[in-house]
Amino acid sequence: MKFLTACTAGLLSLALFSAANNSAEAGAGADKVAPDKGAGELDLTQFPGQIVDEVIVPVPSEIFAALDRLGDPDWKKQLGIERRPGFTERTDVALLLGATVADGFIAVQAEDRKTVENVGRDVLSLAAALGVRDDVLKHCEGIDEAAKTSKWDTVRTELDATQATVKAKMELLRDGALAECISVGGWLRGTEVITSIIAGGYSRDRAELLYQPDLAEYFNDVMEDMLTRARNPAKLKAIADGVARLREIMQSGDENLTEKSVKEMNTICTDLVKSITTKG
Amino acid sequence: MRLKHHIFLSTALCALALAFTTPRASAVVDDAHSAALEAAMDAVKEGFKIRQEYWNGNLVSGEQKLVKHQFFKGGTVWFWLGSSTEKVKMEIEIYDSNGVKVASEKKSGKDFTSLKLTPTKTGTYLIVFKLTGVTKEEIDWALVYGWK
Repeated sequence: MKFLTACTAGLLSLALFSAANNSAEAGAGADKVAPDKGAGELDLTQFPGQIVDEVIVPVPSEIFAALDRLGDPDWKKQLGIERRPGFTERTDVALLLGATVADGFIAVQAEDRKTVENVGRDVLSLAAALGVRDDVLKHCEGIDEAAKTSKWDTVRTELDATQATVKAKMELLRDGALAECISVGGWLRGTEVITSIIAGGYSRDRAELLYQPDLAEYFNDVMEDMLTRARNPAKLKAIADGVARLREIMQSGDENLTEKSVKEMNTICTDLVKSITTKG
Repeated sequence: MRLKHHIFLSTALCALALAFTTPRASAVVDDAHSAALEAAMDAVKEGFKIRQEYWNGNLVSGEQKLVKHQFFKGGTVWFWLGSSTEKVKMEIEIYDSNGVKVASEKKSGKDFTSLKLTPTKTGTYLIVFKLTGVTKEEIDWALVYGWK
C-alpha cells in the first residue's frame, strides 16, 4: 500500500524495460507473439512519468465474471429489494443507481427474468432523475428485450453500457465525483453479495477475491471529496468511514482474509447498502 | 480510407462484443484507438470483452505512462497500445503491487503492441508503457483493455 501511495505522489522511478523486452519495432511486418517470463523490478524512487489513471475501476461484468468462478451459489437468495425509494439529492440517486445496476447483475446470475426487467425500469427512472434518461434509453430497452428472451450475456453487456454511459455523461458535465458515486454504490452492493457467498462457504482461496485495498482507498477518497459539498453529509460520512474500514480489513491480512474478516466486511456492506437503498 | 477502416472495425466489434459505444471518440476518428482496436480483433473473436472506456493522449518520445488496475485471480486480461505515429517503438510492461515484473505474453505489430496476463493473484497491477520516436515530437497513443 505504501508503494502505491508513493506511486500516487509521483515519486516513483522505473528501472523499466531494462531486461529483454518484446517491443513493437517500427516497420515490423507480421505480428509476433512472445512470452515474457517476468524479470525485473520497479525502482520507485525517481519515476519521471505520468500516472494516467489512479485506479481503473473494473466494470461490473468484470467483477461478476470473477464470481462465476465461485461455483454455483444460491443467487436468488442474494436478490435485492423490490421497491426503491425516490431520492431528489443527486448523490443519493447516483449511489442508488450503482447499487441497482449491481442488482441487475445478481438477477442475471439468478436468471430471474422478472427482476431483471424491474431493474431495467428502475435504472431508467434513476437515469431520468440524473437528467440522462435519453442517453440510456436504448440500453434499458436492450435489457428488457434480452431479459424476455433470457439472453443473459446481452443483459450484462447492456447493464455495463448503461453504467458507462451515465458515468461518461456525468464526466462530460464535469461531475466526475458524482459519476464515481455510481461505482461506489455498485461496488458496495457487489461486495455485500460476494462476502455473503464467501462467508457461506469460506475458503482462503475464495476470500482472495476480496483483496481490493486500492479500490477501497480510491472509493474512500471519492466519498471524502463528495462530503465537502454534500447536503446530507452524515450519510456520506458513514459510507466514507465504512469504506475506510473495509480497506483496513483488506490490508490487515494481505491477500489472506480470514472468515471473521469476511463476515465483518459483510456486516459493514449490508449496513451501507441499506443506507443507500432506503430513506433514513 | 482510414475512416472506412475505422467504421468497419467498429461495426465488426459491435457485432462481436454486442454494441459498445465509444464516448470519448464519438465525433473524431482516433487513429491510435483504431490501431489498438484492430489489434484486439483476434481476442474479441476468442470471447474477450472490450472495455468501453479507453485511455488516450499524446506523449513526448521516451515519456513513460502508468495505469493501475484491479485484477482478479483466474481471469485473463489484454492491454493493446496503439499509435498512428510512424516509426515508433512501443513498449509495455506489467508489475504487481510490490513492483515486481509479472510474466506475460506479448504480441506486437506495425502500429501496436499488446500484453496478455492471467493473474495468479487478486490485487492491483501496474501497467507501464512508453513510446519512442525518431524525433522528440509528440506521439499519439491509445490504450484499450479487454478481459475474459
